[in-house]
Amino acid sequence: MKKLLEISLGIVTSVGGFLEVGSMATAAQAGATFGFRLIWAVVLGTLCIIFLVEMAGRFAAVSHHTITDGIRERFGFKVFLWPLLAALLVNFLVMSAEIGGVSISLELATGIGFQWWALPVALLAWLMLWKGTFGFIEKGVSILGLVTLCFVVGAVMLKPDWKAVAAGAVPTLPTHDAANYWFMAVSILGASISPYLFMFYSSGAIEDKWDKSYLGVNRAIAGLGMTFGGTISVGVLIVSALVLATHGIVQVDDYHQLPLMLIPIFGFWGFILFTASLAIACFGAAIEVGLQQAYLVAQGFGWTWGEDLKPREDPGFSAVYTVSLFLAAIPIMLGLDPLRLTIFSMALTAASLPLTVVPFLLLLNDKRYVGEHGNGVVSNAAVIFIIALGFVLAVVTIPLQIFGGT
Amino acid sequence: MNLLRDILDKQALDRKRVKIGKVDGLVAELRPGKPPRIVAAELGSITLARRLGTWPGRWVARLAAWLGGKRHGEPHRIAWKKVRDRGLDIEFDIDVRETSIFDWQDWLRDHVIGRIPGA
Amino acid sequence: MLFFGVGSLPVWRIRRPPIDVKGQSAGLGRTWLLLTLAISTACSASDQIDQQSRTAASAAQTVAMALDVWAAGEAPSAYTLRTLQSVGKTLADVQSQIRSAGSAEPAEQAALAAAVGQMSDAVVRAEAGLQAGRRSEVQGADEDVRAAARSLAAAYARYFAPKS
Repeated sequence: MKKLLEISLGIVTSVGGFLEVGSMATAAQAGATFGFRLIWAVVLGTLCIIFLVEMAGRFAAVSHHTITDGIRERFGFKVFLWPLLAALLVNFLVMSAEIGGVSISLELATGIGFQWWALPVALLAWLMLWKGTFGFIEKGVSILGLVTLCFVVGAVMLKPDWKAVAAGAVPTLPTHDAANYWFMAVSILGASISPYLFMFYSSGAIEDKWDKSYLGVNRAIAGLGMTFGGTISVGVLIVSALVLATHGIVQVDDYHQLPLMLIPIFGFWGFILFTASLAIACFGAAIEVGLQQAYLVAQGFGWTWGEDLKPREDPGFSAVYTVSLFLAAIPIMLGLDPLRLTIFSMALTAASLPLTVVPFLLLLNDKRYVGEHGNGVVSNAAVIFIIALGFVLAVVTIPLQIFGGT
Repeated sequence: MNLLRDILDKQALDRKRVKIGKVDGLVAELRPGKPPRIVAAELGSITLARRLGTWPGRWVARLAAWLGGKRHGEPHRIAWKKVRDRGLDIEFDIDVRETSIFDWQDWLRDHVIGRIPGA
Repeated sequence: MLFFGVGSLPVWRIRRPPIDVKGQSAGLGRTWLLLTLAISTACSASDQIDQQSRTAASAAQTVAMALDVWAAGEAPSAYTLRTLQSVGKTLADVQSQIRSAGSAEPAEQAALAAAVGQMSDAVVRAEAGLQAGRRSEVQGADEDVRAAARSLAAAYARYFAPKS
């Protein structure tokens, strides 16, 4: 009974925590420009994150180590330095994008420019980490995040041609804008397969004191939670395709266009629902990424860490999330366009994935850490394939976007 | 036993199982005609920087001495005989509060973190 | 007795199991270049005009939709005004890009730029009407934006029509 409760709570938190500015923005762009044709990227990304999250939980439950611990301890400092620096950089950009997302929602709600909100948002996020416990953050924020289900409701209310939706789940070659098509595919992959998500999950399993008896719980949460989460992303994509594209808006390059998605479906409530979804989803993600920065450094260097400790009990850990959050607010304060930052960081995430995922996969096949609970052939192969695809596409399309892509 | 695989970079704990850092380096004694013997474990940024090269090591050591006084110009060293338990983590029979390992965290707590309300 | 830091004892490096994290081979660079070249079609002036025209068309539809939902009372005025301001900036940028692009069809190019200019003017009027709370002015501007979108589409068709 207790386990069942834990499973449902875990699923609720991962559903509520899945959508953030990255998946929302990339899905909206893809839907507007390419209709249902990029659904396959969401499906592949979700499949990959299911595997990775399940592995992360299994690793933590069996070895009582987080992934960061494992990479440092198994491969040594010199190897660890690369995933560390890559993750710190990507997390910084993603956190900045999330703070930007909350700031945009506040601009939508109040009419006051987003730059002015960056610092208050960072301050509020910091306050949650400073005073809150892990359970409070994980459950409280994520349960509020269920408001993002409005995209799924909206998609169903629009009565899409489900055959066309299913056809979109099969990868196809683009008919126009090839470079843009592949770049969007990369951004979607990067948005779905966020390294902070599975690394955070393994720290969470330690914070929640998981052991081997949680392997089943872990499998259920990873599988169902991430599937539902991916469904919300597909919901955003469908809504965007059916609302924005049919109104002739085939290019989403301005975040002001985004609330228009839900208004034809829900009227003024659509505006409110969009604003609330963006605010809550991004705020939750900003907190999680901030915490992940602190986990990364503290675990990598072996310091005392834990969100349930008081800041004075782990000063190094608390200092890292404090500094990270306020640093991440700076680009938004300076007026950097949050939508562009988001898309760019998602693509960069996809490019950085091999650095974090490859050592992680090796750990999951190391008997000293996971004993007989090592990876199967299928999960290894699936993850390697998707990561390789994301990496290759990223390396090809990012330069095209930066240097004179059309 | 493979020292590098089983000791280096592992989580270091003190006798109260407080996380005190990772085993950042090992110190070996070279004996003529016999295999080298491990005599101590080293912790801290200086050791890490030395692993990256001579120059980073020198700079970080200078920086540490400048920030924390002469005492911090050398890595923290724990004698090998203090090793109490070796699993995935390495436990040392020391009390971290009697060492200078946490000096910087203590400074951070007393001068920065502790001064922010709610800490 | 001799002490060594880790850096000076090469034995340890040899014993550590070799792990290749980057996993890149020398051939990857060439493949990358080829792929990049394959996907990147030469970024000509007409490509740029094509792209800018589509941005303008999308922007015009955004304005039309934003004004519609505002008129129906389904979006707050502050948001609508910010949307107009932001799209106005985009349109001004597009207009200057189209004007400065070198092209073989100067007449059609000028027609495109003019259509985008009409959009910009209409957006400015919509902003003014919105700020003053004059619904009829906003409605008029809305119709002008749609008309400008139609002339943009016509100019676009002429520009990219097969020439004999």
